[in-house]
Amino acid sequence: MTAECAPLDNVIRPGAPDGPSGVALTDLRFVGQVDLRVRGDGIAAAGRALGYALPVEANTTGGDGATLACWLGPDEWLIVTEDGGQAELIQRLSEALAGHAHAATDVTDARAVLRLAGACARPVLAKGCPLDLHPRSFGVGRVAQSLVARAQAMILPIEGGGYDLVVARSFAGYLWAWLLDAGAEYGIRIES
Amino acid sequence: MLLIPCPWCGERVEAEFRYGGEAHLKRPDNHLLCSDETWAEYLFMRRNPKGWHRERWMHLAGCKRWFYVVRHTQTHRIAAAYKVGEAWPALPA
Ligand SMILES: [Zn+2]
Repeated sequence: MTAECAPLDNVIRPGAPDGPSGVALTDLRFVGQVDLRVRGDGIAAAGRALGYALPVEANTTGGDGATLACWLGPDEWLIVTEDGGQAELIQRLSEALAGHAHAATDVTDARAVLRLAGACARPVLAKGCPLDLHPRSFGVGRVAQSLVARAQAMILPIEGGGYDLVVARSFAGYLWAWLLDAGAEYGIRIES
Repeated sequence: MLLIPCPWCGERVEAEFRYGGEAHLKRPDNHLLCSDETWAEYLFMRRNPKGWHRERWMHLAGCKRWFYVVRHTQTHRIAAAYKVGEAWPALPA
């Protein structure tokens, strides 16, 4: 008996390649990521080292174009930088925070970053994410940790209406396959 | 599904959280010397009310903080959420 959908159909041949493509999926591969735990006076000290204040409002971001600090909790941030910049960033933070209890940890290799972009990125993500994704409540400058297809993820809205999805690398293959399946009806294409 | 108001993140769906049981239980001061009855009372016995209940939740898929919720165990209405260390909001009438 011929199956409707072979196990890897959606991984190998995504979407509707003949029709218009409403959404694009990209594996950003290597993005420098530093998890920073700090509290009290250390928050301002870390801001001086970064050149901008760490965002203290829940689920917001701050940055200067070189690095982007994403609020993860009242004493935790994920600081994103170009690949290779994480060692220098950790050194800079550690020197500025020498007198404060803190932890600056390189988590670059622990997480994958999947970029979902295009006009239909929002309805694709909405299939598996319980957040209110409307731009009036979740646009550039905001960030959230939530669930995507039951996998824990950090979701970062990007310019142009898409999202960067940061997930544990062990979930990346699963989420990749899920996004290709969810995006199939909109014509999903893979970009490099 | 419950909409749970995380004190940091605001309302999120229940699937993002883990339940932590009855709140504000006091561990016996010296659990090595206290009686078995006192220890068992602490470990196993819960109020289990039909009504308003102070309970612990953790925002596992979000900010990963433990906090407290006042929830009605019959209607599932949530009256308040508060952080560890904050004053307890009064139970609704
Ligand atoms: Zn939260």
